[in-house]
Amino acid sequence: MDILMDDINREFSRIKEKISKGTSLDEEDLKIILLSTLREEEQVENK
Amino acid sequence: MKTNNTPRIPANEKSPHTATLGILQLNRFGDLIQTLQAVEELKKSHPHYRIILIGRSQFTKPLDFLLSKSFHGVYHLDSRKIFDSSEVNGLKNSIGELNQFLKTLELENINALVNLSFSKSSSYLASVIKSQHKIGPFFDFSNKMQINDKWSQILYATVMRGSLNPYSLVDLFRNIIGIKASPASVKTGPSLSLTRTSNIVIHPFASHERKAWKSEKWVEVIYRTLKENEGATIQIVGAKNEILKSQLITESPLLKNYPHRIQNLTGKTTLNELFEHIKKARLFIGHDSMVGHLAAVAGTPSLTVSLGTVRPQETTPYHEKAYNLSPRTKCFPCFPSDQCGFTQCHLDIPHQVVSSSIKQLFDQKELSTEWIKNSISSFHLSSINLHRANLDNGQMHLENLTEMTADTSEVFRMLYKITWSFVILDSEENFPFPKLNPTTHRDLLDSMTGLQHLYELAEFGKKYSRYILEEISAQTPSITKIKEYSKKIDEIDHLQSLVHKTSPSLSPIIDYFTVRKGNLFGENVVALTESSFHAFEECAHLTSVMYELVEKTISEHKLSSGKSTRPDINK
Repeated sequence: MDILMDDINREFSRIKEKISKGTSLDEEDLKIILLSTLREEEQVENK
Repeated sequence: MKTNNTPRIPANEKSPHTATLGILQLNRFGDLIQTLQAVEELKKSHPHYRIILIGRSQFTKPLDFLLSKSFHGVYHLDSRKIFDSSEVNGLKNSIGELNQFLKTLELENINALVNLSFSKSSSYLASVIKSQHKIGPFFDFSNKMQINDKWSQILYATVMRGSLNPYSLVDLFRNIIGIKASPASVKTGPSLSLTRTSNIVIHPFASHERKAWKSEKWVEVIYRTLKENEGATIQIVGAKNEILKSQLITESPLLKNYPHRIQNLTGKTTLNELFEHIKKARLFIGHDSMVGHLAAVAGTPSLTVSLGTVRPQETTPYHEKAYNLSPRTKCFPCFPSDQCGFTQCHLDIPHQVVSSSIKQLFDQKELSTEWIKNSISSFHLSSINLHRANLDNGQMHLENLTEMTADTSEVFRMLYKITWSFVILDSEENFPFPKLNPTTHRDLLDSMTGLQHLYELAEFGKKYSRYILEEISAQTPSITKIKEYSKKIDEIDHLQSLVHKTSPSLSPIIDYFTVRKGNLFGENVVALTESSFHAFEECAHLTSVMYELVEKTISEHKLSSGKSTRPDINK
């Protein structure tokens, strides 16, 4: 079980809802997207 | 995250620096070295600036021996550490690590952050790093990418989309940072010092198979080089994952008589040790990779064999003794997404041209048009381009040493270089008129119709932007009219994208304009419409300059069917 991915997926759903409602994101949201992007890149590089 | 990051000058110590510039470069070794080359000039012209680098630790740490000399501070973003045990501890742990990294950066009081990486992660990182000004891409709180400066917009519109960018990445980085390089300053120190050994460093690998020859061709090159240059020793270099490939070369039966003259260093050196080998070598030969950029920093003459997706004009090592050999294959350079099972471009560069060039360079002579005429068979010459890096005007220009006519992309790149420099930098480039062949002549003629359309559309855009502004300033503004004019502007944007389909050579202008329109300034309708007007105005200016250049080039071609008397294109 990957707790990080679970956390990211949950946070992503919340962020997506914010975007769909037209609500502004905050810095914490951007940090979560950043971490998810870094994680993706890390996984591609480790392949 | 605090370990290994260069600390900020202690607050109680008087800092000689008046401003701090943060350079964000999350890409790999090659981009880091080109970034380092770009900031060298800034250090000389603005010694009072503190310049720090933010990069990914897996790339910055092995290069620390160079980076620590060029930057006042290097911050290593360690994503492995960020995600260490996060599969068990979850997001909180990773956010804690990231916050600690950002906190350390905050102590720098960055005045301007320049993102030179253009990747998604770097753009999000740029958005959460505290800085008074941000240059290059970053995300805003609507999750929309913002690129507000013109040179980053040009890079995004040209480098990321096609092969018509005329600039070296080093020059683009310089332009983004705002460094004006003088001809004298970009020229590197003496490259052929007497202390150099008779070693030839060869890196016969690249990050993708499409960018590198198979071992057989390198065996031929090495065999001929050793046979024709009695004093030469070959040093094969590469990373640990290239050891097997290097053995395919060294264990070839053709090279069995030369084990004492071939040193296989693949996987055996750190980057610092590799740099020392290159610094002492007489010559570096390889494909497009960071080793060529190390050779440029070391001042070592180099010959790069560009294949596959490589764009010579962007990544040829930034050094006055750098040469680039590329195929004239129709599909070169391709895109990583293109299907290719045959790699015709690999076949189009004969290994004999490489070994003949090595001999000339090993004898410390230059590759020139005259030498090509006398030494390279016409059969070999017909499928290659051989360029020499020319840094005479303060930026790198690739000079084609073969007398073959330029292809359409090459002609357009030259015209774009003149256009961007004139419109954005307000400076003039002097190039001789390109020689046209029937294909390039036809392509230029075709582009004139597209340019006319673009110009007319930009003029319409200006007109409707002005109508909106006039309507807003009227005593009783009509919302219906404003909406109608806005709709017209949307139609103009759509029509411009159609020109893209019929005139692909005009994509840099169209893509640049799209990026520019996507990043209009202002927080209200008036400011946004004014910004839109200026964008259309710039588009009209770009297209009119380009049109004039195309027209002059075609006229010159017609004249020179007899004789050419005008020496340069920009008069």
